[in-house]
Amino acid sequence: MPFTFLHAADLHLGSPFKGLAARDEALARRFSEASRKAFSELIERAIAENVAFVLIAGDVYDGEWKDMSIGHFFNREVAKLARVGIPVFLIKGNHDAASEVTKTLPLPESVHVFPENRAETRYIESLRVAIHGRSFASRSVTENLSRSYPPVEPGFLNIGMLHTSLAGNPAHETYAPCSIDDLARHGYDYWALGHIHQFEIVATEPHIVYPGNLQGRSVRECGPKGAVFVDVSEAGITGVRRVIVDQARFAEITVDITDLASETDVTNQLRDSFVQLSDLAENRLIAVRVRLKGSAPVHPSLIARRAQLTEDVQSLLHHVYEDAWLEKLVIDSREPDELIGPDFGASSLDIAALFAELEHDPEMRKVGEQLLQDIGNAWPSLQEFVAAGLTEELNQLLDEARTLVLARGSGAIAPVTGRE
Amino acid sequence: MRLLRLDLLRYGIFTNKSLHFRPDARVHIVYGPNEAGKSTALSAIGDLLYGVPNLSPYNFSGDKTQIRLGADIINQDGTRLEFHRIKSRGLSKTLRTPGDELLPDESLAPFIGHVDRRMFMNAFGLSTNALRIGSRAMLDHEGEIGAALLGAASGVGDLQTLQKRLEEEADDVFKVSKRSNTRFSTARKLFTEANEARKASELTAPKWKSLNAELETLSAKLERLRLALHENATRTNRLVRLASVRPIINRISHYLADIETLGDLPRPTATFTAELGDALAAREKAQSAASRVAEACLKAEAELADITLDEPLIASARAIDDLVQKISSYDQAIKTLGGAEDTLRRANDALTDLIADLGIRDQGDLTPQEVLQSHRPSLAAQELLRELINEREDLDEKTRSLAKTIQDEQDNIDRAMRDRDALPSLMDPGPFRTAYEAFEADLAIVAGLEDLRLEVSEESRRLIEEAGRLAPAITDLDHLATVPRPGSETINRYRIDFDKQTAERAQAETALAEARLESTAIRQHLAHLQIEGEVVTREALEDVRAKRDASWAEVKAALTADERPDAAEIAIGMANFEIATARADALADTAIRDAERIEAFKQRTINLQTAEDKVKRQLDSIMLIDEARATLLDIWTDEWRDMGIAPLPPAEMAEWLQKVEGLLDRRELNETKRARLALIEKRAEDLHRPLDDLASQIGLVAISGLSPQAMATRIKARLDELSRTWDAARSINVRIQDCSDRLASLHASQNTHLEASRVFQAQWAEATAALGLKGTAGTVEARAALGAFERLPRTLEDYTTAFRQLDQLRRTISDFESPALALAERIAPDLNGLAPDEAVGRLAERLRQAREAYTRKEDAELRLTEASVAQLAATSVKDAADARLQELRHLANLGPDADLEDLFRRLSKFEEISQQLALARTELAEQTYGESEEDLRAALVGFDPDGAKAEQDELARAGQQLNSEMFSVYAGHSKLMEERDALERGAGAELALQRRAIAESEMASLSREWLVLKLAAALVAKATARHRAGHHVPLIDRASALFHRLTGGSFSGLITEETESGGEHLVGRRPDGSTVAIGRAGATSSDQDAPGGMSEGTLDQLYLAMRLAHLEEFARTAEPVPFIGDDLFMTFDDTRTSLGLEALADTSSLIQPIIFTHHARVADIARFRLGEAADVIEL
Repeated sequence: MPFTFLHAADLHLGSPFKGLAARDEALARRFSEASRKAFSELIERAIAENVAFVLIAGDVYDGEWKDMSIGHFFNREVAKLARVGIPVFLIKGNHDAASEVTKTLPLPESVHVFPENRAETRYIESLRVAIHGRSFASRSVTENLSRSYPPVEPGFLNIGMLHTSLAGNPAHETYAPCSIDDLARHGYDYWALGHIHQFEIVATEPHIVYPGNLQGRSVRECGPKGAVFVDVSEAGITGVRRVIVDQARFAEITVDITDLASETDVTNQLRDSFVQLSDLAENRLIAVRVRLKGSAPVHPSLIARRAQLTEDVQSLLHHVYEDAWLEKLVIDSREPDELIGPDFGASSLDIAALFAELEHDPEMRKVGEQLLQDIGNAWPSLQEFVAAGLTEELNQLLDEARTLVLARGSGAIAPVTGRE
Repeated sequence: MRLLRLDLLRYGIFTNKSLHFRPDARVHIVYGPNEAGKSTALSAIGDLLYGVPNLSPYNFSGDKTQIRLGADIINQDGTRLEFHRIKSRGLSKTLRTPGDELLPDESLAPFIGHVDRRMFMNAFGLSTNALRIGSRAMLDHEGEIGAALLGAASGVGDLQTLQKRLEEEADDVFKVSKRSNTRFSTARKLFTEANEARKASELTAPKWKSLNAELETLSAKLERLRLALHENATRTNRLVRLASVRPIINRISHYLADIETLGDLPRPTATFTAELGDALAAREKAQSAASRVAEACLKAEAELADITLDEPLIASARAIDDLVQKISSYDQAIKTLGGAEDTLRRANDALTDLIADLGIRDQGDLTPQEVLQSHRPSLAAQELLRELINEREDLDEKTRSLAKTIQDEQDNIDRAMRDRDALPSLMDPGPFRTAYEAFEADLAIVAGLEDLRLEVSEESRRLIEEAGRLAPAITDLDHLATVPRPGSETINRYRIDFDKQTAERAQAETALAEARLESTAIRQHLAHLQIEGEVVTREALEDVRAKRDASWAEVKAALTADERPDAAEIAIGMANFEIATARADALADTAIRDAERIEAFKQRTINLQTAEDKVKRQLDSIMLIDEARATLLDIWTDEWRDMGIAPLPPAEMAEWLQKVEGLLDRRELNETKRARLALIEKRAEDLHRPLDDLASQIGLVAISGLSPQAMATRIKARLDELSRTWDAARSINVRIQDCSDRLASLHASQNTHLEASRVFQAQWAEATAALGLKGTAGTVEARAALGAFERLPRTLEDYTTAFRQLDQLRRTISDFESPALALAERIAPDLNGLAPDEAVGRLAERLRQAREAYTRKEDAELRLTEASVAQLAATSVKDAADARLQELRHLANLGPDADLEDLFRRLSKFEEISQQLALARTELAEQTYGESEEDLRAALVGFDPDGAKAEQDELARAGQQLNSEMFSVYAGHSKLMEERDALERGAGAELALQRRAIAESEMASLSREWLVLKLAAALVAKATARHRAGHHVPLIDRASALFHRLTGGSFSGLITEETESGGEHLVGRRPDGSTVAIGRAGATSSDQDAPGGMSEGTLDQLYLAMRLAHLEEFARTAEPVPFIGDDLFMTFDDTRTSLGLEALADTSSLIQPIIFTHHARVADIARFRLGEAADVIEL
């Protein structure tokens, strides 16, 4: 008898969105509700699809999250599945292992949690399905858990649930490392993985799948988010379908402003680039990071008018797509070399070269470091920002300061070529 | 790099325009009035060197791809480059050879070196505005050395103020020192608030656990209370029930006792009582019905006896009803009769009037209707007449119009003839005009005569005046033109000779002065030596010794003389000898003592001699030079003798000669013009006679005294006048001819028209007769007759209608009156004499009454019949009831005497009590919930209602207390439940956390903004500090020299001074050693420097000096670009402009100065002050 099951992971319920600078209370509310709404929608879709069972491959909660209300929310939602007879199978991930909520709040009976000390198998006899799984005992698991999984159960559809970073994924910390080959050789029909937030069908023989997280939470998690429906027939796994349930989206739009000389040109270029917004958002709230790049004569005036430009970009976004919000404006563009001036012993006449030289003066770096320390002292929670500043960003900040001085300095005097 | 040529090939308003920059010039002035394209040319230099920006305002003719610039440039090595610059997207690959081959982008590098566009604009360019901003910034910082140097060098306005502003903006964002109202503090506040909200809304595990424990405690308490309340309620219910059933049981007891009192009651069947009751009631009912029917019979019979009927009236009922129906039409006819008669009369009158209108006299015996019918013409005759009327009116109109036109034309002819007679005598101007035109060529030549004459004489006057103004003055330029003049080579030779002599003399004078100085010094020294004591010279000693020896010789001679010696004489001689000896000894002593001083004196004396010899030699030398100079001067003067000029020195004479050459050139030109003038005058004279002849031929007199030009004007005017008269006469003749032609044609038309009128008159007579009119009738009569016949049909119809209406009315009246009167006569003679309608009304009333009586009679007869039938029925019912009562008596075994009525009453009472008893027992059963009556009676034994009430009250109080306790516990419980539910279902701390994250982002973003601003401020501070500390002595020395130059020596230069605060500031130094600071205390608004500070003008000069010094310094080590001044001297007065131009010229060995201006003044001053060194390029 053919059936479909749902494979989700990395719900990270309750964790806030990073990097948003919106001062709009209503918008903050919408973002804060997005994760819950995404999960509610997932449950509705699972019921509508009449899935046979639901797999959640770790990280239901965020590790640092202490608010029990999110646990109750999760329990309420899975209770809806229990009412229509859909069982849930769950392994705890690195975040769940450390979670106060997980420790405190018992899960409903319809949710089968796999133990931490060993891998175990649960059977659904009516469907001839064997589900193998093992939870994280602590936040950090460095052993290859896949080796502890039971052998294949003959005559059953074998599904392994594992929270892992796989081996050698450089963007993520290493958790329960194992190689694709380890998994493939185990002989299961389907590996339901969790931990990596990007949707990926790692392999198809057998199926090794990351469904990605339910809801993007920062500009590092762009694009559509959700889980997967897995279709099964007598022959085995027949298809993996994405089910998109995210309520808000992140996008990064890079705009090349090479050679542009006026802000009007920049505005036009931006407007052209924002045309894709509607497609990216698909009727959702969308937070956009706009990055300007390229070598452009207009660069200094953009730096000098950063605040105003930020507002302009925000209103331009609204103009193109009503529910688009500027996450951050990153000005990665630079002046054309011709404007910066050649690098030679700075003459007093050559103010550009003078400031270019000063920008690299070790004393200026010291000044910058001191200023960063001042910020850190004034508000310790900005330590992360201070640390980033001390390491990478200071050069960029100095460069921007130099551009600002030249732009503002040039603006202060009438150009030589006055107009008639 | 220097510009040799700038080509504006296609740029802005220019096409193929080239500006040439003279290589030997020291300053270039590009002069163009407003709108000449000065700014465009200015901008072109920047675009030429650095490329054309994408959005150039100088797009050529709207096609930006067409921009093309070119130039010929040279650098310090002498390398030249000719190239073109075009525009394209991006700034690369825009260089071309003049032959349009691509040049590498770096081709310009050897020419512009390290100067980029920004540097070119800010440092090598200087506008009045930038100058002012720069000098004001210097003032603001009181000449602080770092700021002043950096500001002047970079050309970037006021860096100090920029630094301050950046600091202020940073402070708005964030302030380290205090918790103030910054944007950062606002974000921080939001963060703190969000964090507190998070803590408050978070449902933590301990919080949740303690909530659950509390809920459990409350639940247990609630259960206990519920139990106690239940017991209390049970007891209360028991007491309440006993109290409520007690009266019911008592009532039951009473009913049972009442039944006992009713005695023995026969009840053979269950329905016996009811049946007995029914039978008794039926008998009673039958008896009462029989008596009611008998009464009704009597009443009906009495009514019948009272009613009588009018039979004949009833028989005529139909006839009366008919008449009643007609009454209203009858009344209407009577009312309208008079009106209808009037209408008929008016219609008849209208007919009569129409007959009169048509003028019909004889009517015979006919009615008006018939008369009119007989005179009515046919429709065709009427239509014909209508047409003829129109035709006749047209004919009449045409007759009138023809007569008027003929008269108008006749008037025109008369008027034209009068106009012709009024013209002056006629003369054909044609031949005279031809004669005049033959002179026109000569007249054109003669026309410029007066102007030329004035021009020649004015130029002569100017030449004389200008020659007179020269120094030396020229009294006779003409003479000068004829004699030889020394050439410039000659003058130059003399100049060299003179200069050489001057130099020699100066040298000699210097040597003389030195010698004199030396001599004076020696003399002073000698005097000094003498003051110290007598200086014994050898000569003096020898002199004294000689005197001593002489005295001795005299004494000796006297003693050895032949004569006896005179004692007195010897005594004198001895005395002299002794004195001289003493003197000589003293001198000798002194000499020995002051040998050194004497030696010095002696040496000095020799030196003095040498010095004075030198003085003399120099004086001789000067004399010789002067003699030679006098000779040279004579020869020089001789050179000019022929010209009658006493010459000035050669340098001035060279200039003089240059001017004289100019004057002579102009004189030559003027003489040529003078010759031409003479020729024209001759031509004018030749013209005079023929013109005079022509004038007299055309009737002009007394003009022979005028100039040919004036004569020509008069002749031309006269010819024009003749032409006008000639043309006017011709046009009048044409007009008269036209009018005569038209008049003839009009007369012909008039005859034709009269004929047509005659024919028409016959038709007219015939047509009018058809309508009974006379042949003489006009259109008015004819129209009236037609109108009358048009009205006729309508009038006749009106008459017929009125007649018919009246007839109808009369018939209606008679149809009613005759039957009405007849009927009244027959059935109601008493109504005789009443009007017919009133009589009919009375009859109708009588008929209504008769009909009512008839109805009443029928009703009474019916009731009588019914009563008789009812009487029979009542008797039968009573009999049946009696029989039933008898049956019942048997059934109950009652004797005939038994009182059935009484029996029925007791039986009824019994049944009533039994029913109440049953009800009471039902009521009891409802309240006992199954408990038997006996058990209750047992329970009520000893039941004390008062005691029960007290116990009940006690139970109620206890119950209330329990309830209140329960309520409070329950409320707490549900509140906690709700709380837990809300916490479980709520969004928890998510929103607060989101807000906190947002605040954190905001803080990071603000921190970044703050950092950039602070770093920017720090960069500016650092740049200034670096300039403060730099080695700038040579630079300030050069600026000092330029400042000296620019202020025309009013300042000797610049120095730096330390202030009390330890800073180093620039100050100006006066030639007398005093200083002038850069500060607000100066008379900045005036043009005067004050001790407290420099004036605005001086500040501008200082800034310019510093800038030029910087540029020179740069040019010494690197390839510079030209210095571009944009209307630089706009705010300078003439003196300062001169000085400024000279200072720029001074820098020209290193940098090419180019000044753009729209002030002719600047160009003039440049020419005047710099002569050939100034290159004025006009746009």
